Amino acid sequence: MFLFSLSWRNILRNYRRSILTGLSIMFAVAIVIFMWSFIEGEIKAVFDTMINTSSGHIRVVNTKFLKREKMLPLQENIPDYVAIQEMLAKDPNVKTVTGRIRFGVLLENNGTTKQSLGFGIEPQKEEQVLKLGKTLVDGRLISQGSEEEVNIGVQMAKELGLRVGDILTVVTQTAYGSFSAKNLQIVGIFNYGSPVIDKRCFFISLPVAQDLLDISGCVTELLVMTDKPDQARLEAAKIGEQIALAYPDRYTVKAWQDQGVLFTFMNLAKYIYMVILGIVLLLSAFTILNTMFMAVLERTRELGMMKALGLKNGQVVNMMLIESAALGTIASFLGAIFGTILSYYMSVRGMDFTKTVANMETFPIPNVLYAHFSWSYVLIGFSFGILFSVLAAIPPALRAAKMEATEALHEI
Amino acid sequence: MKYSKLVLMIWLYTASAALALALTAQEIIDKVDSNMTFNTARMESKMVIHVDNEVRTKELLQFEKGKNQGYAEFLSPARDKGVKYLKIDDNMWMYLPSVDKIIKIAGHMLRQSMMGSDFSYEDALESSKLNEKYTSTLTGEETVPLTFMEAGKQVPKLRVCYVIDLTAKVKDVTYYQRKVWVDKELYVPVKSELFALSGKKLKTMTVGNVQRFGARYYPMYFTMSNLLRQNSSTEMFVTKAQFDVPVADKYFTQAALTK
Repeated sequence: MFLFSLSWRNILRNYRRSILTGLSIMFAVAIVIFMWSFIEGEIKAVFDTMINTSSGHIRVVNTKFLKREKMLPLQENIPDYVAIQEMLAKDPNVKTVTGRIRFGVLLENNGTTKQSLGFGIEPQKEEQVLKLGKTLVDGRLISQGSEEEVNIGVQMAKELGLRVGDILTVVTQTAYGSFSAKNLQIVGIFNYGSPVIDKRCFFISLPVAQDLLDISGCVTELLVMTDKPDQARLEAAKIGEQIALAYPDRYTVKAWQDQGVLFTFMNLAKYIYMVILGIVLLLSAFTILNTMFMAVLERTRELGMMKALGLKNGQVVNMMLIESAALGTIASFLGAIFGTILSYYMSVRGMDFTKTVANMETFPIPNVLYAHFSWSYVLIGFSFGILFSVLAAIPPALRAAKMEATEALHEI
Repeated sequence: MKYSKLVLMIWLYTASAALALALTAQEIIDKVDSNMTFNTARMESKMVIHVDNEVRTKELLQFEKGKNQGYAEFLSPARDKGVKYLKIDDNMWMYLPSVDKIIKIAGHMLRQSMMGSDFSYEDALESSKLNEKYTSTLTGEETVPLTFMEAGKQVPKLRVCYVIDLTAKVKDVTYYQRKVWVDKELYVPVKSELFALSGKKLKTMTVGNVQRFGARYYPMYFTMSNLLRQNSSTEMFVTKAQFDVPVADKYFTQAALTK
């Protein structure tokens, strides 16, 4: 108890030094918590956008489609999609299975044409995948049936000068190479928050797309959402076997982690982010170590004095550890509060990159990046602060304790 | 001595007569051009497109005037009915009745598939003389089959043909080289192979059911295979053909598309 009160008095006695040391620790802890949640948030946002717009957790396609996916070959489709949907619906791990048709289109409006990407979707099911309904800023979601309606993005609407109620003329080629066109009524405008989607994509119901493209009863992709995205590979293998049994050598089933260059690139980016996070951790640790180390080292004479007054070696070390633990805990606690506020704010408000990403029309990066707030990051940051504060105090405290009192007193 | 002189004279005489009778490649192509090109034409045809195991049939009506004006209207199936194309020089417009709109088709698209067939828009809507665009070399003779209509059936008969290589002398051609088998009697291109500048074979076309229209021989059956597409070929049955009949100018205006 004596040591505790002594440590506490030591902290308060030289309050300037304590505040400075504490500030360093606090700052380091806050940075760790914030960076961690921000990087996690960014990675999660990009992966989520990619999963929701293109890959699902698991995607089923015609094997021939995969070979020429860039061309979006409509002939290589999934005529058995309803049966596969019913089959997969029985799987307890599967949340939803939704069919899609993606197709290239020339959009025509008052003499201006624009290359864009059409999606034939099952609007109700897509609310668990694409979640288009939640991003509508005007009007409503397209209907399920054969009503010739369309949802377009805010940026496309702005570029083509279109509003809810207007007609959008879509001209495309059918699966058999004929030209085909439809006048679609705009019933809703969405702001998906990703330039790729908001500028280039529009959404119509599956029956309308099938009629437009002359592939009735077919989709080109089936997106499966599962309860455990991390185990998508296992689930994909299972589903793949099931489908291969029913339809041999026709379809390919892949988990989101195994789809395309973007995912490979993002996985690489994830590692790079982890390295950056590692460096941030290292720098923060070094800041704490350095400050604490110096704070203890400069008190060698003081410790020598205490030894001369009768304090034992162990007591000196314990006193220093208690002191640094106390300081570390207080500073880390404050840092954690600060980091929590910052991360939480960023997870709600986000950081707006609209202007920076405006021209990224091929990579699904969101306009606004949000931090991913989690109490586990706060706990990690908090423990990190205390751990390094104590660790830093050990070597100089041991050193001072081992010295003879007279020797320590002579130290400048 | 006298005898040998006589032999020489006979030989010289026959040789020069043979030379005078033999046609040059250019003259052969000239005859092909006069069979295959026209000032005006009105044609009704049925296009049968085979892709993998699927067969799609489309009927169309065509008008052509000069080498640069073409008009085509699809009569069936229901989803293509009323689709019209107009080509004037290098410009092409398409009318889609489902949205009541005229859409301009950009230059490079003229070389793309017309309504999913193996024919490009250019193949279908152009009628320019080979001699104007290609230099020709006669490389030999071969016997190839050509079908004739006999009792409602296409019966193949072996025909002796000139084999002629054509190489583009103007820049703006889709097929840089062509190899054509020309019937020695009828002067129709029984078989053609079309090549890109790189030497890659792009398409093969054969004809059949050659019929006589005055001085003209014209095939009423074409089959085209675009080798860039897998398992694909298109048959074109000309059901009705009229050559050098008056064709109203009104067909070659954008206004005609919307009517």
